[in-house]
Amino acid sequence: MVTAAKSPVILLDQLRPGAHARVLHLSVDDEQAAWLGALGIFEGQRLSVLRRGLFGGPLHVRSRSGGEFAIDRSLARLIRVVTEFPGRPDADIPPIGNGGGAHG
Amino acid sequence: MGEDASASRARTPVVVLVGRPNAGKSSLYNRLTGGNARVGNYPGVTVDILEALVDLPGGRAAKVVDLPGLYSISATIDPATDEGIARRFLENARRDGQPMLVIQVVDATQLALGLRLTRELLGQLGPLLLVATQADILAAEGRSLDTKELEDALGVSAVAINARSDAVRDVVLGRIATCLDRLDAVPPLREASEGTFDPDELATRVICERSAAVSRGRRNLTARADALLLHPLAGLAIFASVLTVLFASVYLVADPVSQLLDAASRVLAGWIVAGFGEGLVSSFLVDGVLGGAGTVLTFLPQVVILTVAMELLEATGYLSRGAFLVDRLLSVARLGGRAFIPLLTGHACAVPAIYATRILRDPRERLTTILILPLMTCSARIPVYGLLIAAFFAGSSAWTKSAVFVLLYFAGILFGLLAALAFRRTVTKGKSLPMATELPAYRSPELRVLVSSIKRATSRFLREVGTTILAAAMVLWALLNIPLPGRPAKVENDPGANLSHSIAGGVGRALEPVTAPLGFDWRINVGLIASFGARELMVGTLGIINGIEGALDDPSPLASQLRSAKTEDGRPRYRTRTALALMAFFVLACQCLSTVAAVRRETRSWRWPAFVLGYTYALAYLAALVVNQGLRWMGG
Repeated sequence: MVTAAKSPVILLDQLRPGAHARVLHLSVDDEQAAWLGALGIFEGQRLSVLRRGLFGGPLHVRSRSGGEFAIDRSLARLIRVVTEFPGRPDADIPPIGNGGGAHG
Repeated sequence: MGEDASASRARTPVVVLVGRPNAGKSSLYNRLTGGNARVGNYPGVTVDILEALVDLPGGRAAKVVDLPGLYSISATIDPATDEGIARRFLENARRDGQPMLVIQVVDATQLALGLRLTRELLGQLGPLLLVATQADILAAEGRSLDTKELEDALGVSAVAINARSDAVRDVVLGRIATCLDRLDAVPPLREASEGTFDPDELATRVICERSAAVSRGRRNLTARADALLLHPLAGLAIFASVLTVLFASVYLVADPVSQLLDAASRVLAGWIVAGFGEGLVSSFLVDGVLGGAGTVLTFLPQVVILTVAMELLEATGYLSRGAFLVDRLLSVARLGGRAFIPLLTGHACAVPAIYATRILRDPRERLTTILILPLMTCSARIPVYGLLIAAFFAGSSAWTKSAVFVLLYFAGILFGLLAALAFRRTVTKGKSLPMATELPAYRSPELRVLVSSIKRATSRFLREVGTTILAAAMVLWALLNIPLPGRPAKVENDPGANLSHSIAGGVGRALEPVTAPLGFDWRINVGLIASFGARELMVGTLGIINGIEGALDDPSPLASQLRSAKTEDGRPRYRTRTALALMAFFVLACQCLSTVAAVRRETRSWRWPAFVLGYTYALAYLAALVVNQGLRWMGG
């Protein structure tokens, strides 16, 4: 497990519960990236990891756009993220409409 | 006059509901159509597209169409995904030149996500009515939606509603009428450039926060529920309890219903025999028609229970949580967590379980699950296992008997998972949806939506699966009751001889060279033919051939007869290895015409039921051959 302090650019799969990150790149083909983008997982999206499924099960993440998702580990290994709020592992991402600003 | 009517029908505007899953589309559709919906006839489409004619204010009518929930109309991945189906529908509707209004249903509490689809729709389709649901929940969260600002920003009509309120129908139908009037006056197509905006930025602008504390409180509630329901131990225990109740309901409900149907069919059979006398006509009406109809009706309560369960699990948001918990378990077979529910239900009966695969979004995963469901150990296999264990393991300890039973039970699961793995690499290989699913907010289900789902599921089961089962039951009756040419029409008081003289008896004998390496004689072959109607018929049919009545209620006399049966030269007719080979055959063969009918219904083709029959029988033959010849070689 890589910690945010050592290397801020890691794979989504490596994030611990409570960690926050911004999606940098999706290493999937264009159509799958477009589908994931429509679902709510796109480059620039901010995510917080809520929990990790047992025995390598999916990741439960919350997005800045308001949705929560279960992301399979095999897919999470294809999503490069940059960690955010390294000093505040318990900090929550405020959803849109709760005083948060726009993001890219 | 006729031309006028058809021209008027052609001009009937189409109002298409689109939206993300869980956006509140079904609820709105039910309100708009008053629960009246028929499944549209769109060839090759394996999901339901509902449609209904609705009267609008001002005397105009419109066809309201409910497309499956979707995330995108551009990124379709595969034509068979819900996205692909919706896209094809919209393209066809536009090509037909009918006036079309697209209503996008968005969840106001997740507006930024919904607006991503809005952006696509505006870019590709033009006129749009945006209906933002969950306005009441948004208010409860201390937030509100500025629809005026939204309309100005997008140049579309927008309305915020609570889809469960009674007033919603008039409000939305009024808006539809206005939009359609405008559509008549203004050319419909927009420029693609109008679909460019930042959904997150726009959502931030139009959602006004009144109380941050209320909003946080509500989110904390969801987080607390998830902390329990997604807990590695408590969550699994709760999920197991929910599934136990579901499984027990599907499993146990068949019994009282079957008893009731038996009682009713006995009365009806009595009337038929009184009216037509004993003979082939009565036999056809009682065993063919009445028996087939009884089989169909036995499945109905199971279909209803599964429909209720799926609706409740999906509508409450719990289904996705359960799938999250067991996702890893099924990933070994390259299936997602949602496949767990149909696979579990398949252990009661494959017919409702095949219907339950509708909860799977990925078409390849759904097809894989349908293809392996006939391998799960359903309740109809159990009497056959029971009879064979009683007959050929009579001298063994209870532990041995139990071990054989458990082995047979889990062999179904093992072969199912292996088959899934093989299929994902061969017949169902291809591009799947990315393995990410939405965990929707917890919601309370709506009775109105539930009731119309039940109505739809039962009527379609009776129409589309029931008729096939009934027709096949009649064909089976003919095979088992009509004598071969040159054989006596009927031997009084000797049903075993009648069966021997029947077409099935002839086929059973003709098959002997093929089945002899498995250790099966013509009697077992006839049993196999009969049990294609329903697996448990194997026991009754073997009983008839061996001159024993009521074998299904008490199999011990039949078990003893099978044990002591001798060939003409005095050798045992059936050995333990024959029984084991027959068990292996039953584990794998899709001996169930109702399952075949259900596969046909859900895949909308004969290709996949034919494939199921082909691969399960090939596997069954091979397994029985290995068991019989292997044990023979070892001196068994």
